Amino acid sequence: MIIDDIKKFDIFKDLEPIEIKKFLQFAQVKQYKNKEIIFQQGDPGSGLFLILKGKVEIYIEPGGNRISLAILKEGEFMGEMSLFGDGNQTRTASALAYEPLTAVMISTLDFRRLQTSGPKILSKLLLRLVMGLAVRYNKLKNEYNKVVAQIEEAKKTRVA
Amino acid sequence: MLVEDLRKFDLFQDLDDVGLKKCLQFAKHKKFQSGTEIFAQGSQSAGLFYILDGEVEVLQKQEGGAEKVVDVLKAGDFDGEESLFGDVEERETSLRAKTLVRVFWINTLEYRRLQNSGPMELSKILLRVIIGLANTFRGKNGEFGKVKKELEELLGPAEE
Repeated sequence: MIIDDIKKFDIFKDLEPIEIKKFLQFAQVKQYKNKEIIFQQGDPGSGLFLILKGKVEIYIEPGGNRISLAILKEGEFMGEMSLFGDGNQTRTASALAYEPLTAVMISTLDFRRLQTSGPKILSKLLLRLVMGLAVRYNKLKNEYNKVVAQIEEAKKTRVA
Repeated sequence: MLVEDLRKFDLFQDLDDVGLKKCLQFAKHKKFQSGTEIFAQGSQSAGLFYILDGEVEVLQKQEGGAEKVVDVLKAGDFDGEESLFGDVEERETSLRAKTLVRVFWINTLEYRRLQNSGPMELSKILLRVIIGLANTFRGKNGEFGKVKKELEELLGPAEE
């Protein structure tokens, strides 16, 4: 994937081409086929994945029964906890490409290297991530409040 | 506010004394007594504020002029992040301290200065913001699933 393609994604909007180039020295653009496993529960938590295109299903399999936890979309990320601590955390769930997927992966080690040698680049990316997450959270909160209001309404109607 | 006080908050956990001092050069710590208006509806956001502790009511004027509480923000929540990109728009809600509230506040200009002179400190803070927000988001997502199920049980599944 070339710099012009990367630049199209919101998260990289604030980076100059030279900064994207530097970022790509630390991160890898990865592509997965539909249904391809990205990581499995119990694997070492090797770094942060940011979804550029496509969807990811997060699931667990307690006692062999598969339970889907979430479908992550473009702009969402997973594995952020692996960026903290001693890097010995293991994945608490499995991830599968839900459709053809393009993602950026930065390992815990490379994240720390970028924090040292390109902290400004990192701060620009992280602020965009904060923004994207805040927008999605506010949308979710509104949806939640609507459903709660509908429940109250439905209960009132039943009583009446 | 002193370095020792800042250290108590999760947000600053990854910073050393030098980093904390640097942050205090650019950002302000503000305290609002219960009932104080923090921002008025229609005013412009002029920076990011992050709630360290306490609760903040989000109010919106209704038809007829009465204000209604539409949300309550707690420690770890933040507001005004769009203004850091220069997207300054009139606020659609006002904010009022529900309890004694302490916030960490940084205006757009000082944020850019911090990005230039303390990008590593900034990236560490932003990463903590992301972790907190991601956890809140996932928690809310779980609650949303539960209330949706409750609504479906009351009304029957939504028609496609």
